[in-house]
Amino acid sequence: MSYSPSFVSLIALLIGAPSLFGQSPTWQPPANGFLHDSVTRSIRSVIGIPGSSYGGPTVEKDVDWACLAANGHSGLILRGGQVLLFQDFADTSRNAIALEFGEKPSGCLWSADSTRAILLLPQASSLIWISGLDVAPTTNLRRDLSSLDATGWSLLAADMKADAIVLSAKNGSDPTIYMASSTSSPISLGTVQRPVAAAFANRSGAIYLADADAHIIYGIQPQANPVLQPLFTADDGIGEPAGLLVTNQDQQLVISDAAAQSIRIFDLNSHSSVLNLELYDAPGPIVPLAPSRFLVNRRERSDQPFRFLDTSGVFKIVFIPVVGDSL
Amino acid sequence: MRTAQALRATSLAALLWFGIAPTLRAQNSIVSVTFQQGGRASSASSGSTATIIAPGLNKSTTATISLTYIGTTQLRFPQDPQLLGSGDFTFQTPTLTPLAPLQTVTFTVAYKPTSSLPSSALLAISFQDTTTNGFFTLNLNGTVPVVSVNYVPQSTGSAVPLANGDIIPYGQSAVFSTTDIAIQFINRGSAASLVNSIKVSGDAYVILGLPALPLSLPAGSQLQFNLRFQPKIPGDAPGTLQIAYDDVNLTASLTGTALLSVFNYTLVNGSTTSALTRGQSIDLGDVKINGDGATVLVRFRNILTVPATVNLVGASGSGLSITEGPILPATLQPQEEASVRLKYAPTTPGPLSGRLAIGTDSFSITANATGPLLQLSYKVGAITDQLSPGNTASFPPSAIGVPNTAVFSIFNKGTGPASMFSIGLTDPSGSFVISGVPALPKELAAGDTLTFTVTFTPRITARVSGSIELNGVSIIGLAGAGSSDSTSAPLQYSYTQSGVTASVDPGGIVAFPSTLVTQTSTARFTLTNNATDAARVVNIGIVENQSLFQVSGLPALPFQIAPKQSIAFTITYLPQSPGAAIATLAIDGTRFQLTGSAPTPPGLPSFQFTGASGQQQPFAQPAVGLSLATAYPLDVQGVLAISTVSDTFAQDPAVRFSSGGQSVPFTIPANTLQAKFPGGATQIQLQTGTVSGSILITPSFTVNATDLTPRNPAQLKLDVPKTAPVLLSGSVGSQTNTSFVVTVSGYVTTRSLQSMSFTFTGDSGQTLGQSSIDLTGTSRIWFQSTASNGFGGQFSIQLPFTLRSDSSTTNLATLVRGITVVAVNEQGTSTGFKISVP
Repeated sequence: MSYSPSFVSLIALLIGAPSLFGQSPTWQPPANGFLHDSVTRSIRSVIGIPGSSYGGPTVEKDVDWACLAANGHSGLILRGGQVLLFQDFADTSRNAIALEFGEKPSGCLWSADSTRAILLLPQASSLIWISGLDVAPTTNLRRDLSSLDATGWSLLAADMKADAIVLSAKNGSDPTIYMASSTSSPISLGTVQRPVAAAFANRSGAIYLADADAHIIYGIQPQANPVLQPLFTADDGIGEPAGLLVTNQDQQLVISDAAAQSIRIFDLNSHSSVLNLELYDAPGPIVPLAPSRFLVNRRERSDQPFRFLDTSGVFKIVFIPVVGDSL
Repeated sequence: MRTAQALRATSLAALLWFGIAPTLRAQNSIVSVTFQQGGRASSASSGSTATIIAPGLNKSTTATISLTYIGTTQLRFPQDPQLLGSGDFTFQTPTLTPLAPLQTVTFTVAYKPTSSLPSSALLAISFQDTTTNGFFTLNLNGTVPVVSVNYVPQSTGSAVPLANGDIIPYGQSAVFSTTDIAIQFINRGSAASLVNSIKVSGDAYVILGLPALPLSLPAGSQLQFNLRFQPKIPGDAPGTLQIAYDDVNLTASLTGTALLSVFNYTLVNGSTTSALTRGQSIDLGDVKINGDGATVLVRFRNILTVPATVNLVGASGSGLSITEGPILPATLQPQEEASVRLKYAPTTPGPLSGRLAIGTDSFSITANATGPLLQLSYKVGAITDQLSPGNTASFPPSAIGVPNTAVFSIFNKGTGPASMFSIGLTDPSGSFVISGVPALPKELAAGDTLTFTVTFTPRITARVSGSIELNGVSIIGLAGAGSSDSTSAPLQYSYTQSGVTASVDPGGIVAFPSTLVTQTSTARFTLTNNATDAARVVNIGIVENQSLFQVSGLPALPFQIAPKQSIAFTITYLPQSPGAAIATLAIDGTRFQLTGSAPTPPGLPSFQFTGASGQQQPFAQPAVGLSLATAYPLDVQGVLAISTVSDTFAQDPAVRFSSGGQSVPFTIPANTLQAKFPGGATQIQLQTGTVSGSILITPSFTVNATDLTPRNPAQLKLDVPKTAPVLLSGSVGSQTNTSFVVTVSGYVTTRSLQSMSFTFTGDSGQTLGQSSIDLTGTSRIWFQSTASNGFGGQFSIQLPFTLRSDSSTTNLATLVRGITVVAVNEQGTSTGFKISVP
């Protein structure tokens, strides 16, 4: 066996434990981010580690709309008609930054690193790409959609950089699916019945699209003339898909199914279902709120918890109950 | 890119039977094919038919056929795809290279129809991968819409072809008159035509009878709608008609002229003649009611240079009528005149607000009808009834010699005085007596009231009738019934429950059977008139405001019961809680007592918990439920409540139900077994938390506010054991060349930590060093602190480390690639948690 010089030096590395150097360990409560509670129109902190936690005190109230980032502590909220950027809900010393859009966004998607976001402004019929949300927000591009003679725009998915997006809009009788990015205008991919969710595969750039009424999950390959290719249908047990997520290095597709009240995971190589996680109420879109934690339901009643898909180990559903402000 | 004209169809069979051997015609499961034209896309199977629709004759369109390889190796095309059939189709195929899994190749077919008839062709593609040889065919059906647009004026009835830029003329019309022109849209082609929009601009024009757009107009069919000219202001009224169908945009100009009125008017009122303009008011002055009335004549003359037609002459308003006018429709030549005679003959006093309409012109008509209008009413006891002429005023039945008095009122609510010469009554039996009549004659001014009294004192045991006369004319009938027995009454009472009928005397009891809370019992209560005269009932109801008894199905009060007839209604008993109930039913002055009782609900059957029980892991979210051993006949409401017994004298606030609280309501619907929790689920999740001890779940039950909880209800006990620490996350931060901070989070159900050990490893996993830290003291401080109270046994600890080495390497921190952490308490040692160092 031969040893490299660096290995020799490492053998002599001495680790100075805190107690040996007069430094005490610092104890503190585990920090686990924030949630938008539409029932109480508030942003609430999470007390404890999900699995044994609860939605605790309100940190922001009178919230008419919110779009939280994947880092769990940043977000955009609408209050009094104004969109405010909170770079850290936990840091009360930092003031919110007002962003002037002139209207309430109807769609919002963050990048995976929580530095960029795309907003859909319905009245202006336009898309806005914003960067620097962790430091100083800058509007990079505003793309006008009004020339496409379509209405009812909906933002379905963005890639991890929040650059490429999938949209739907009514253009004629059936909803039309569009793909766009900060550098390319929307192009039509064809029509479906009721698009409800989409997801990007981060490595291949493939797009997956859920049609709730047709009970179909389409695959779209990023190529010159992309087409909607049915991948999973009712024959595969697709009920009423409500949310999509691509995980495990693009190998698995997570589908939240409102009809079955469950989360199903499909292996994209074998086209087979590999896991079914039952819920106690209907799921909604799948929204990342931490690196391995995804919100899977809409909390619509005060007695409903938030439910998350935890992908840090074996996939499982954890809930976070919400208690009153008085606690 | 290669382009090919379609081969003749006659070579198709040869390709199928000789070019492709039968053994090669395998299943097509290794490819997925999508046919798309415009935004219309669909999956295509081999042998299926796809339709291509061209926008018009000699106009080209394209469709794409996308073939995706869904196998797992590589797809090749052993020969070029072929297109056979009509020459209206052409085919473009890209340079074909092998396809990787999920890769797609797209072919383009162009279709340019030369006739309105459908065309057909066939596309054939052969392919293969390492396991399968396949062959895909697609029948192409080419169709095209061929559309013509016409307009049909009312005046001619003949269709006129409409082309882009044409004018549709409407000519002269009066303001608010209507002129319709039909628009025909005829598809003579082989494909449906997509009518995207039909719009009209110009305030004077409106489209009628247009179905919802966009509309697919099938081949060989026709769409027709009306385009109406209805000007609202005088002057020229330009407009445009825009029709967008398929790829065609057709625009036509609309022209028309509106005149304020096409007639000149003259008003003749008696001997006075005056000019009249459209919209002007015609005042007829005061007109006495029931007299000869008032009449005016309205003349009108056509002032156009072309004939004008009157389609409408009418009058609205009470008492207004047209007694003379032209026969409609009437066409007046230029300068020709016609007239309308209008009569107002009111029968009731008051102002008139009417209208006269001639064609599209109208005039308001005002007048004031004068005269008296008498309104009669009478009051018996507290009840007042209004009477119309000819009505009968009924008196309650009464014993012989017992008087009953009613006060009558005559109110003049008209606009003129009423002359009163005499007021009296007729009654052959002498039972009715009138009194209190004022001195007559007199004038009863408008707004004044005259009152008098009529007393009914029966003199005979029979029905008695009479009448009140005003000015010698009978205006109101009188009726009453006399009884020889002053204690008897003409009405008899009974009630029916469960098919059994029982009589009840005034003051008697109507007893309802024992009735469970939330359920109901009913009785049908009947009033029978055994007398020979009609019996009058003024009021029926429950005396008490808050009552468990309700009356329903009553006829409108007051009412009369004809001789030998019955009236019935329903009494409902609806107990809200166990115990007795009592109320009073009142029928005019007669009272009955209503009684009922509700038993205490039956005892609850035994119950059991379902789902999780016994020892549970900490940091878990199990579900529990509750079910009855046997079904219960009523809805059961209940609550599950959590209490905890901690091994560490500290409660974990995370131990709660998924609904958010430490108690959760449930319902067990009647005649079912399982408890339903919020949202309808039959189980409710809870968190076991991160502190060792016991979680006790205690149920309570109520049925309509009656507590049915057993004295010592069975509890569900979940035990959370004392365990070794569990580490859940870790990270490294605040990194310098010789130091960094390690953050470790986890939980320990004993709320105590003895130590934490760290093993530092390098690039190849070799151990660089180890360190252990005694946490006995600091962990005790943390878990006794207020800050930790909300977190149970959870903790996050930050530990700074400094690095030293004898080597010349200065950035020592970069040498550390991983850290394995274990934590120790009195229960044991945690599983090692590995932290990657960035």
